[in-house]
Amino acid sequence: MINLAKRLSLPVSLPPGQTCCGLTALQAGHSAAALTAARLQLRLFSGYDVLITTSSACRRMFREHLPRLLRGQPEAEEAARLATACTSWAKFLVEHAGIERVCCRFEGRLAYFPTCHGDDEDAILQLLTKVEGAELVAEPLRQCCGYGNNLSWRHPQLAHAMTTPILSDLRLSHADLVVTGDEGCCIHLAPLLERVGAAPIVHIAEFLADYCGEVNGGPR
Amino acid sequence: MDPADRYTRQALAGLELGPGRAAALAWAETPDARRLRRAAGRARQKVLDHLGAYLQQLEQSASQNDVQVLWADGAQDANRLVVQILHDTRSKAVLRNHSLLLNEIALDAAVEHNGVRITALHPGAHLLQLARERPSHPVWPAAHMRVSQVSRTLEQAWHIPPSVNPAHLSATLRAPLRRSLLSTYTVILGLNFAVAESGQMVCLDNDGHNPSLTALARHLICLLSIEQVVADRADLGLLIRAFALGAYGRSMPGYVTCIDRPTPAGVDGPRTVHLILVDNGRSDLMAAGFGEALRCIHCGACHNVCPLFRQVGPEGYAPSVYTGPIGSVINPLLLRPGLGEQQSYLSTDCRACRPVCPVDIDLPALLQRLRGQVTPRAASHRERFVFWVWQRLLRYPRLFFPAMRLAHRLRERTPVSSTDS
Ligand code: SF4
Repeated sequence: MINLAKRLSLPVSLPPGQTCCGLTALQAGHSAAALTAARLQLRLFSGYDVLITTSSACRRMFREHLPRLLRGQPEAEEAARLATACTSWAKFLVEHAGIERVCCRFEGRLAYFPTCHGDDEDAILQLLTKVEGAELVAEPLRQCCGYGNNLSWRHPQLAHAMTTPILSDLRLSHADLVVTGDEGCCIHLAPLLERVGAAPIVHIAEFLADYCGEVNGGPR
Repeated sequence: MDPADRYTRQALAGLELGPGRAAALAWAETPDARRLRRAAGRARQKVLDHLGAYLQQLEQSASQNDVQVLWADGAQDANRLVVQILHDTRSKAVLRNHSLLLNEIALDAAVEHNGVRITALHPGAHLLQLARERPSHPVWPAAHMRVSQVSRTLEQAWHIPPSVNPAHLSATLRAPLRRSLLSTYTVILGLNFAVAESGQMVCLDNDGHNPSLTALARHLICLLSIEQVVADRADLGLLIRAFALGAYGRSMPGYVTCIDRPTPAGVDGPRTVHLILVDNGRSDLMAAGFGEALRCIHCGACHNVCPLFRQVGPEGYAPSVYTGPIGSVINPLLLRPGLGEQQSYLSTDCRACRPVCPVDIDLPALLQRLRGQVTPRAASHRERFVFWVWQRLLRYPRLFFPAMRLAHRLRERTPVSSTDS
């Protein structure tokens, strides 16, 4: 992602010291721990105009939960600012940077795996449909992969069972590569897809960086 | 927790393709779907905000209609009242409809314990009586059973040869129900709604068992869980529509059964009508700040779309009869303290249930808030330790990520059941 940003001459940087947005603790009901994480985030990202996350769930943390958690606190204003500043890589490229297409070449069938919190689906699909040589699998199965809310940690068997219909759908789609918009889904599905011999799964940012040739459009 | 067996999981997955898809299409064709949902949610919330007043109004209007109104604090009180009425009317056999409230208070057991035979006229509910199982779904109580299980249940109960023909099984199941309908005069109904303004008591279904029951009943005992009171007829119409959209994907249910008063001699219909208002933990749930969950009209829409419910199956929500996303919210609050708490974690926060609820309940937000209350008192030492370490490491990426990877590795080593794929 950073490499692609450099090629697009976008001033993107990776502030050091990042760990976790705290959503995982919040979902598990550890509100105090979540608040600690939230405060750290605010400090890390205070100097930036746009905040790009590669997980749609983290984005929900920034956009919805953070302002709510910090309401009435000294950091409330900053939290509200970050909430509007937070976006996804695909959305940023398409909407903010005015990139109509990243010139990618991929010979084969691409499957898009929709994520539960994905607010950037249109942007991802716009980028994917313009990939040269690729055929996009229509009507992907819309179902949660089972990773969220620590389920894969609390009830691994259940989280595993939830992937069954997804794995068979992706296998039947004869995709060569699965692209998604959330890190979490990748972490959860990658080893399972490998086990059943289906196509590997990559994040859209990784896909764009790996298969990118040249870029059309450009910073406005 | 282990997933349900694969037959259950396959059966429950059918909910999305059947009623789930039907509801999605129907909502898409409904003009002003959003506004309808909001209005239905408001109609429910209005009643919950002034529940005491609406219940009093209901008691008044029902009493004016010569309906005898009784109050029950808990399940046992409700059962005791029912048994007393059965005793007074010298009933030796009763019929009931399908209603989760009746399952919730374990009415069958209480009635049978007093030597009265109780039969559910709804085929699915009757099947569960034979199999001695809990319902898995508010509208299709035996949604988790496949044809083979239906056949096995009938085989064991009635010693009939096994069959794989659903039509045949259904006919076999219904025949004795029809006979008992003609010979039973006392009927117990779990109501969907009761109207405060008019005292009308309402049951909704799609197979017609409720109108059959009320047409032939001599003595009618209606039970209502207190939150299902509706302000007036306009709200009733709205909520019937909301229910039908959520449950069946239609703008009206197949049958709307309305009872308001006993019928005079010479006319078909019940001679006596009782209305029992059951609390059984609802007041406490509201006091705990989760009243929004009681807007629920038990349409099952959230069950149909929940990808986790179909893996967990009904047993994951035991001992409650409320399953699915709404069960995860209300069970920890309705069951004995400590009993259902773990159910609040049965969620991946995927939010599939958020847009489908016809009364606009924010189930994901309620679940998250509930976990915020459950975790401090119920989290294991191991979990507390994990999050304690997690919190300490937040400032140190060099330690945080290796620790996370290690945790991930450890989880990978947890054996995963091989019942899948
Ligand atoms: S919570 Fe909403 S969708 Fe779920 S059963 Fe209740 S009314 Fe239906």
